[in-house]
Amino acid sequence: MSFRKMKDTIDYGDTVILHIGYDNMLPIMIAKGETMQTKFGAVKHSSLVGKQYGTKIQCSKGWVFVLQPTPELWTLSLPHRTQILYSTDISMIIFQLDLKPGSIVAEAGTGSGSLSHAILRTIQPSGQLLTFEFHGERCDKARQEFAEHGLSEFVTVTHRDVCGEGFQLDHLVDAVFLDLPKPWECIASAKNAIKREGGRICTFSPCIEQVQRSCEELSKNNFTDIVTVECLARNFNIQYAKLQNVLPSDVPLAANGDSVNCGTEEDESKQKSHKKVKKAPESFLNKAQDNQVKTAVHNYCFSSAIPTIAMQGHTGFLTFASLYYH
Amino acid sequence: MTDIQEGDHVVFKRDGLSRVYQMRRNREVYFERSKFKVDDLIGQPYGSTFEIDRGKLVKFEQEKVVQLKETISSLPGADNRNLLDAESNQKMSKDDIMKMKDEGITGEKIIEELIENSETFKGKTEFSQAKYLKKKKKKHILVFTVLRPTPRLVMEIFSKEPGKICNLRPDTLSQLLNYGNVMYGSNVAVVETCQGLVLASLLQRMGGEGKLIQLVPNTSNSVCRQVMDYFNFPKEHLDNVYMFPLDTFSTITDDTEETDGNSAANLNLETSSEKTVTAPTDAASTDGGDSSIDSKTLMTVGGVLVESSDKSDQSENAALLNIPGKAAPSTDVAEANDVTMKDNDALIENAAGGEVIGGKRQLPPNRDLQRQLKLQKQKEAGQIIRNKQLDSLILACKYNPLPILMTMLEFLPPSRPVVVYCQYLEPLVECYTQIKKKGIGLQLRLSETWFREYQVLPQRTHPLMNMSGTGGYLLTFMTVQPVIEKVQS
Repeated sequence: MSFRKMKDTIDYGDTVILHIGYDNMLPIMIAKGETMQTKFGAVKHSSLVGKQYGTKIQCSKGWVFVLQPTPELWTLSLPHRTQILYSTDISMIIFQLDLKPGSIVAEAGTGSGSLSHAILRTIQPSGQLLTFEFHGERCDKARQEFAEHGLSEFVTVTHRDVCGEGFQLDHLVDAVFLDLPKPWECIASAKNAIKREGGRICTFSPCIEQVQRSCEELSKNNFTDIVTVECLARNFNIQYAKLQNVLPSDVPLAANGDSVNCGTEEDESKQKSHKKVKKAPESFLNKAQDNQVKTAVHNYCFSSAIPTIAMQGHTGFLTFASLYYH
Repeated sequence: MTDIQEGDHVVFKRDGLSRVYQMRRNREVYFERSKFKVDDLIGQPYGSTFEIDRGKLVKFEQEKVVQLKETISSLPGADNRNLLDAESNQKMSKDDIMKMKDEGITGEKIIEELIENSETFKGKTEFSQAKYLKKKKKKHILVFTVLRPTPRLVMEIFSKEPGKICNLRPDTLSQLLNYGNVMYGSNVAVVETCQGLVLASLLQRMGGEGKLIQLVPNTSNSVCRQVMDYFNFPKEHLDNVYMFPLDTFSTITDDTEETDGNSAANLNLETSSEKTVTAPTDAASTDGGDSSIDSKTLMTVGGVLVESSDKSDQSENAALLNIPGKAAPSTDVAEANDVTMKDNDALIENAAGGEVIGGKRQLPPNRDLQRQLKLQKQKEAGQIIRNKQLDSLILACKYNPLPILMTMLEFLPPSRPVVVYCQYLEPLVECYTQIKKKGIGLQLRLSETWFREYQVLPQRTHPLMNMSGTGGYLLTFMTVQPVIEKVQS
C-alpha cells in the first residue's frame, strides 16, 4: 500500500526501500518473521514496523535509511527482468502523453514494470492501465508486484503479443505507449484503441531505423504532430578543486590590474568562496614579487559542478504523435 | 465534454506555433497575421482542424494538400549544379502576390502560381521541392487545430520566449512533476515564478484532491498565475489551491494564539485601503531586476490580451531575506496588498463562475467576505505546513532558493521528495553543499537534461539544426532524519 499515498510509519505489507548507499537500494516487503541481510548487517522486518519512513536504522556494522518507495526509487531498485526505462525518459513520456488522474493508457510491453509504476502513480485512482506482455513469466511477476504494491485495481496485465494479435481495444484509451522491437506493426491497432475524440501515442526505440519505420506508419495512419526527441540526464558532481598558480609572483592577469585570488589553500577554505576575483592589494603584489621562489604554494581554489566523466550516451528515441478527432 | 464551450480557453496549434485564446462570441482574434472571429469554433469538437480561407474560418479538408503534392513532378536525378541565385528565378513579385491575396485568391492557388512562375523549381531535387513547398504552405496557407490546453501545449506557447517561465523546458518540467512524486491527493508546497504554469501542471496531476500551497514572498506581492486560467479548472480543483506568504512564517513557528492576533492585524491593514487597481494579472512583478521589461512584453503572451498595470514591487523581494523575521507589512505597501487581494479574489470569483471579460475581472459583491475567506485559507495552509502534512516541496522560481529551501525543510516530514529547479547552476551548487553537509537529504542529485529533437523523413533523418542549449538545472533529493533509530537485529 506504500505506493498509493504518502504515509508516515512502516506497517506489515509495506514495500520499503532500504537505502544502503547512493544508487544502492534494496526493496523489501515487510513480512512477519523475515530478515534481510545487508552489507551492514541483518535487518529484522518486524523491527522496522512502526518506524518512521526516512529515518536511520542502526545495524551491526553500520546504518541504513528506510524510505517510502516512489516510482523513481522503484526504478532504481527494482528487480530487472528486462532492460528498463529510466526516470528522465519516463518523465518525458508521461508528460508528452498528457497523462493525469483518470487517463486510460495502453502499454506494450510491460517488461519490468518501471514505466508502469510511474504511469499508475499519475493516473490513479480513476484511471486504468492496460498493459500487455508477450512473456508469460514476466506477466505473472508484474501482476504479483502490482498486487503487492496495492495497485491491482488500476491495472490489467494481459499476456499477449500485440504485434500480430493487436490490442483488441475499441476506441477506449487516451494514450498508447509502445516499447517493442517492431512498433510499426501495431500502430494501426493502436489507432483503433485510441478514443474517437483523439489521443496521444509514444514509441520508444533505440535504433533510428525503427524510428524511421514507425514515423512512416504513423503518418500513414493519420497521426499528426509527429515529433522525435532524445533526452539524456547529465549529472553533476560537486568538487572542491584547486589549480596551481605557476606564474612568478602571480602577477595581475588582466590589463586592469585584476588578479585571480591566489591566497593559500588554507586561506581559501576559511573563506569558503568560489571563483573569486578580487583586486590584489599593492602590498601583496610587492610581497609576491619579492618571494618569486615560493609561487608554487599558491593555489586557485574553487568548488565546481562538473559532469560525470562517463555518462549514458543513449537510451532510445522517443517518438510522440497525436491522433485528433477521428 | 469534447466540444468547445463558450468561455473555454483553446489552444490554436499549427506547425511549430501555439497560442491560447478564450472563446467569446463576436470577438476577433489575431493569429498568425490573420484576424478572424471565433464564433464558429464554439460547439466544434476539440481536435478539429480549420483553415483561414480569405479571412473566414473553414473546416479543413485533408485531401487538398494531397492533391497539391501530386501536381508537382520532379526530374529524376536533378541536383543543384546549375542553380543560380538570381532574383529573376521567381517571376512573380511581392506585389503580384499581395494583389492575388486582395483579389481573394486562395493560398493553394498562390502556391501553384509560384511554382508555375519559378524558373528553378523543376530543376530541384524531390527533397528540395518538398522543402520549398512546406515553406510556402506555412506562409500562404493558415491551417490550425483547436485543442484543449494541456501543460504540454501551453509549454509550446512559451517555446519562443522561455525566459518568461525561467527557461523551463518540457523535459525539466516533466521531471519536476515526476521527481516531486505529485499524484492524486498530494499535499504539495510550491514556489514558482513561471506564470502559473508549474502551479497548473501540479494541480492537474493532483486530480482535484489534496492541497496545493503556493508560497509567495510576502502578503504584499501579487503573483502571476495567468496560465492557471487557460486550463478551465473546475471550482473544486481551484478550491485546493492555497497561498501562503513566506513572511508570515513566524506565525507558524511560534505555536501560540498570537497567530490569530497577527492575522487580524494584517486584516485591518488590508481593509484600510479600498482602492481599485486594474488587475495586474500578468505583471510579473515578482521577479527581480528585469521585471518591468518582462511585464510589458508579457501582454502578448498566449494572445489573451489582458490589461496590465505595470506594477513592480521589486523592493518586496527584499522581504524574503527576513524569513522567518517579523512580518509586519508597513502601510505604504497597503495598496500593493490590495492588488494581491484582488488577484486572489478574482481567482476565487473566477472559480465561482464569475464574469471574466478580457481579463478585466468584475469585483465580487462582498469583498470583505472574500478577504476573510482568503485569510482563512492562509491559516489553513499554515496549519498544513506546521502539522508537517506536506508530501513534496517544489521550487521553480527566480528567488534565491537556499533560504526558502532551508526554511521549508524544517516542515517537511522525512522520506519526502524535494525538487529545486533553477535556471542557474550556482544556486543549486550552494543548496547541494548545504544539504550534503547537514545530512538531511538522500539520493541527492544535481542534473541537467540534454534534449534534442530530430527530423525524421525518408533519407533525410538528422537532428534539427537548432536546439535549445539549456533547460535549466534540477536538484532532487529525498528528505531524511539523520538521527539514528536503534533496532535489534
